[in-house]
Amino acid sequence: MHMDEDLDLINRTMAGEREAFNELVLKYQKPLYSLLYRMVSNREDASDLLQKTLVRAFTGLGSFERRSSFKTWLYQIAINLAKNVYRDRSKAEHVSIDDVVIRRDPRTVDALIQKESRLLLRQALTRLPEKQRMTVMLRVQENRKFEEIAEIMQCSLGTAKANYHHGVQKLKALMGEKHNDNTE
Amino acid sequence: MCDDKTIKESLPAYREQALDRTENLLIESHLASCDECRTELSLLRLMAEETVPDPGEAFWAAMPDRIYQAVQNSQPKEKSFNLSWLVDRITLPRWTWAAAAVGTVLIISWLIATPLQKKTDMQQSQGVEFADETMDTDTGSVIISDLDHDELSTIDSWAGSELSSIVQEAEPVLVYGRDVNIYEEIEDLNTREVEQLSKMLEQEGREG
Repeated sequence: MHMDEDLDLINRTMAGEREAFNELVLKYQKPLYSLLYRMVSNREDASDLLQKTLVRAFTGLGSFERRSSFKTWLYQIAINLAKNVYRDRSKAEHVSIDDVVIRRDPRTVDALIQKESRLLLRQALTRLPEKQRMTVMLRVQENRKFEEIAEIMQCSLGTAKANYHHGVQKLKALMGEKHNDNTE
Repeated sequence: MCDDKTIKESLPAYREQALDRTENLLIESHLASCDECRTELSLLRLMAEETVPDPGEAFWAAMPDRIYQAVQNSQPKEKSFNLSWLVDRITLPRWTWAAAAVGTVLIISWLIATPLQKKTDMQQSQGVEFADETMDTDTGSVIISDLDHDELSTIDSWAGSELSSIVQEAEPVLVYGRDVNIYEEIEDLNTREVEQLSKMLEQEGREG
């Protein structure tokens, strides 16, 4: 039903119906932005990538083969465009946890712990191999099922699950490592 | 260390509350006795709580138009009719206009002449008869009324000799109905055939 709705909107868009075009953009702009922001951790880059993703999708709408869902196809485009930005950013990003925590001056110990955990998590995520990071992010933060992730990442279901397991295990290890470094 | 991959794979769905009751109970009983999976679930919750800052309603509302314009600009532009392009090409040097006029006259003349020539050729091939006063020959047309007396006499004598030779050749056919010489045919007969022929002639003579 969901796919049929999208196919109808796509057909109407290809026929030149502006309302159908608008509907597709409004429907997918937020999930795409969320995905892109999580990948690049920057508002400007995420906005720029969102526009590039949608423009590429609508200029190449004729090449959408309709074997997967339109959303999956959009995610594939977005991930491919964001990969380069993410790679550059993850190389350049070296956030000092202590600096950030002190500057924000948390008022409670709980808030400090919470903020520290989040910063640890963000740092650990940037250190995951790209496919593992993408898979964990899609499963946990974007609530995509493993079958969808396999389609988006263009791999088998087994590979998607394996990437998830390895990603989560490595994330736990990295966070524990960081936590120990900070408490020493 | 917990190696239950099925439980670990189901933890995100458990957090999303997307499991049925039986699956839920199975996960909860496992979590009650597994520190590692509880830690993993806490990690998943922490990750899921990571929010994405909202760029604001104005950003979302402007997006369809922005994308539409960008798509239109990225499409290859169709070649439209351009008057200035045509005018640039019309302003040619004077000699080109003269050459074009001469060429046009030549082409029109050729087009007019060609059908007439074709018609004449067709009439010749079909053996069309010409007017009484005109004869078509290899060397051209001759008008009889333009000939003087001597020329007419020459033609008359030529025509008479031509006709007499035609009559001589045609006489056997006209007389006997066959193109044969009867005397040569009689000479070729043997004695018996001559006797038979003689008898036949006598019989026909008696019968009148």
